[in-house]
Amino acid sequence: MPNLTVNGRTVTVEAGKTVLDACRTAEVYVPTLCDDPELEPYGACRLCIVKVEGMRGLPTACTTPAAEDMKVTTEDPEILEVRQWTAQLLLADHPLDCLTCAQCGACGLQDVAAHLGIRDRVLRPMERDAKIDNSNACFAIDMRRCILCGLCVRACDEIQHLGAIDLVKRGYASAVEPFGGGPIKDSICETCGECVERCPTGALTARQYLRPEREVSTVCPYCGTGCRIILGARGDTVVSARGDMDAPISRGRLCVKGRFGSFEFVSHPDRLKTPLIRTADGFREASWEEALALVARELKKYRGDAFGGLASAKVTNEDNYLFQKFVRAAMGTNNVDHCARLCHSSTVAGLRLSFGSGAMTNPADDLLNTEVILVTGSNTTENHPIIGLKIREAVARGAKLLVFDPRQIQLSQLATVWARQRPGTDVAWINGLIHVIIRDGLMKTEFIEARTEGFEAVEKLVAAYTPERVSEITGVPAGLIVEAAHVYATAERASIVYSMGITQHTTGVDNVRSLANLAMITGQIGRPGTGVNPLRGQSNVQGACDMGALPNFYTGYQDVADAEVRAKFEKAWNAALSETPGLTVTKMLPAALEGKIKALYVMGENPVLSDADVTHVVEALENLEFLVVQDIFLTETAKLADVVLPASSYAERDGTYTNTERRVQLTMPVVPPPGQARRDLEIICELATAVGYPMSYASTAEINDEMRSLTPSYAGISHARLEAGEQLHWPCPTEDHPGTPILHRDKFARGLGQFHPVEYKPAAEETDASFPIVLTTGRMLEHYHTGTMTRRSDGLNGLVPGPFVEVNGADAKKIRVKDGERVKVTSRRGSIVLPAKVGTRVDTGVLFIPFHFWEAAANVLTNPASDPTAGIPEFKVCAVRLERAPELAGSR
Amino acid sequence: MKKPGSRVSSEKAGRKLKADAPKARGWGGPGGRLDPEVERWFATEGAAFPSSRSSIIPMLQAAQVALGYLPLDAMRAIARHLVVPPALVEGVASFYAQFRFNKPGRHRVTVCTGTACYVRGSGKLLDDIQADLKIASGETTADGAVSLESVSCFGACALAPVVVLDDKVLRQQTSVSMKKVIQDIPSGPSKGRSRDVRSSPAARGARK
Repeated sequence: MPNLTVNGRTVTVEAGKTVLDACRTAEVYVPTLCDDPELEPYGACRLCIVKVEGMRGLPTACTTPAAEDMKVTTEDPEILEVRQWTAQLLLADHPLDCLTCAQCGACGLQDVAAHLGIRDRVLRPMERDAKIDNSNACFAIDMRRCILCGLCVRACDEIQHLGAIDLVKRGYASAVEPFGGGPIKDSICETCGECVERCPTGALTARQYLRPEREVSTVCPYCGTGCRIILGARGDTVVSARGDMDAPISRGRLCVKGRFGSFEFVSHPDRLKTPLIRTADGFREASWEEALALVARELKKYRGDAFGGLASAKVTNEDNYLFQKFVRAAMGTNNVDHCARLCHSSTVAGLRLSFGSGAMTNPADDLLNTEVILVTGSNTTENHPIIGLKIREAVARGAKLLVFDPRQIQLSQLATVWARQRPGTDVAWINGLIHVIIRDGLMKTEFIEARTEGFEAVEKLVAAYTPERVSEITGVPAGLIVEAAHVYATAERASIVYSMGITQHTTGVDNVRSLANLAMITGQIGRPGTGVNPLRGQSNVQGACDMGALPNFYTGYQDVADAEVRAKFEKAWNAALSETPGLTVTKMLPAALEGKIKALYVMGENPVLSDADVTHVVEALENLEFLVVQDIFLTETAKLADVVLPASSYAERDGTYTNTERRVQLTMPVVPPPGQARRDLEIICELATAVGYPMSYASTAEINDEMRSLTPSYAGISHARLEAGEQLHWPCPTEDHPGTPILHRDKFARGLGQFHPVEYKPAAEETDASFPIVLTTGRMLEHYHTGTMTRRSDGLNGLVPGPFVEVNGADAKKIRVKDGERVKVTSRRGSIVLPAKVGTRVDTGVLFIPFHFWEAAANVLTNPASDPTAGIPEFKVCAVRLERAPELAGSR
Repeated sequence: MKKPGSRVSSEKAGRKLKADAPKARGWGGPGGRLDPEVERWFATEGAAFPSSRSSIIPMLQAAQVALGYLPLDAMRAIARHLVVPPALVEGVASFYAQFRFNKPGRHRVTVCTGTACYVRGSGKLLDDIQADLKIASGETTADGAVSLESVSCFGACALAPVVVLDDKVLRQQTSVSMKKVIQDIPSGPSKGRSRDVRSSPAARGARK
């Protein structure tokens, strides 16, 4: 560790640090405009020049390594003069309209000019004549204010691993531009905002920003990654968002939704502020007393299995715990479920059967230390962008990427192997990989013998899955199957990452179990950098499952049919509990249609847009005798309700969320709920009390304590430990247990890993002459779920204002449709009209529609046929027909 | 202004890439189908270059020789081959004066504005040629027949002021003689392939 003196003061820094670091350690301010602690040293701005005894000239502190016995001087008249001239050169082409600049008060150039005592611009002004690029709805680019420090370009490269922008041309013409010159909206920019965050001047500025009065760290409300956002508030309004550098998983990174689209909806005028009661011609506002009394009176009529409750993957563990307790103890039924049914119920079921635990086996940071990443059915960079970043960083470090995806997703461009399987043929290609691994003797026999059972059955079954046969079924060339098998099996550490492309099939559980087979046969599990890693789609979907918002499990996956478990809960809750497992979401709605379910309580879900075959969903909800919806906006589902209860958003509550890695995180409220809106758990407690099952808690910690006392896997995760900054992944059975980031280390949760032979079965609906095209649905970067939050952000909505269908150029040509023209997509269940996005992102014979948009709801088309074990609908495959839109049908 | 802290931590030092480690990024754009002429060039020449960052400039040069200039698709093809962002390729290309980004005219008039030629009146010469062709230096006439450029020295100072028409070196030009030269430029393409003057044999020959 070198010791050196800065302005006569001795400091010691770690080896590898720079002179600038040493100056900072010595608490000496050295002006700089291009340095960032997270980026490689660059030396562009020339302001951090210092004198080092024995070195010639004025070296830049940021690029000079600190060395033993260096004597550094940071200020003297000569240094000051050089710095002043450097700053004068920067000011010569910089506008001086500071008062009306968005960066005023936070500007690096202002700081430097003030520090150097600059009072006048001495060089002839040569302000650049650049147009403001206003094309991106989240941030603006004003090249007149750019000082060419390169921070944005380097952030895009080194942090985002994208390279959407670069410094082009030279001399006075130098500029930061996307490829081809812009506008930025037409580039590959992902609007992550890392550049905006770092720009020292007003060249890159967020459109929605006010300087906050106070800031609070909370957990992002969108995908299951669990990034932490620091929300800033002024009074009762959230006005800013930025990444939390101390967050364990995101380390300050945020995606476009987290950075630009996470706060506008919180204070949106559309927020529900009073309870609403249905009248003959719509809704009327009501008091809480009246609304709760009405709901209680109605719900009392339907106690038992005529009642159903839909919990929410967007509220806290504490909220979900109380909700399922309400359904089970107060209403006497196990009919409680939530939208995990629609995303990862096949994971929960499949991985539980194979390994004994239905969750991500390894933490996300493990991806940085792995040699091979197999990504399938996950458009990670769009749907879990911060985990996607980790994959891109791993590739940058030399990891190999295998991508099996029917769409040409961004990761496919970085992949060693990109295979485009036909939608719905996953079991076939996974069996093909296993076939090659066994054929070529690449399996880990020792691991199979010591840790697993049932291998022989799989060995026997996959014998028929030769690469040639697999190629016929999946459309993937046999050579790619062999290559992928070899790359995956021969790696020291290989990780599987998957998401809804695997789970949302009638063969969802089969797909998941096939992946489990693949991991076990190669021993790629139970160690750092390995594992089978399902990425969960909502901020607390893992927690909602863990809290027992499932029809067959109490908290921590304790079986409702197990008498001993039931007795424990009956005692704790002081109520008789039903022994019959309840109905899943996908069964509850048909049951409502048949009149078996008569009343439904929906908390923070929007099945009208999120569930398959929307027409039937609406019919089922309309057939209910009583529907109560608790939400923050009047969603498509709430519009059908008899009573609507205004609830709180993520910025208004405290409690815990469990992210996709099983990491439990604490959050704090930033602002109070608007108007009369209340906390979800308060509403549940009051309803329970009103139906005759008194519930009351002094704090969320008290609810958490009750839950922990009943849930072995959460028993050690107290609010106090989380508050102290501990990072805990369940299972964590005691308060001195450190948590379990990696599952199945020495043995599987179920003892031996269970191999399960899985035969390929075609999708429930195959193409035919009238419906010749396969439709697959999913999400996109800029929007989330049913759009109730993201579509209320001007930024996100400005980036992607409406629905579209991705069509291959060849298919578009057949029906003479150009990019942007409207088409009609029809399935056996309905049809929608929307603009076509023509390209090569999908193959011929395949369409992709994101399901966020009510104007053209993809789920009008999807097939409700579901997996027999998990009950997950087949969102990823249905047969459709593509035609020109009716209004175009006559032309040409 | 900035937070002090661990900037070159050991973790960071450990992650330092080899110069040519594959970078994690796409070449962008959902399309992927490029201009047929670019695809042809890439198939015959481009694909043979080693896929490492040091190939950027040689590939740009090869593409320009083959295509006459660097259309965006050529830079896309290079980026795809090297697995780097296209913006990086453009950033490198746009730094060097030797690369052109617009389709050149069928004939090229290059006026030397180096010291010797300038002293012998090439400044005015260039002004007059610009007026005759009704374009500025660096532009191409509307009919696509002629591109006008200036360079800072051919190394043929004894012949000053020098103008090069396609591959032909014209010595001691005047505004009057150039008027005739321009009038006589055929509207069709030049016989020889239009090459970069800096590397053309004529230019090299003229240096002797």
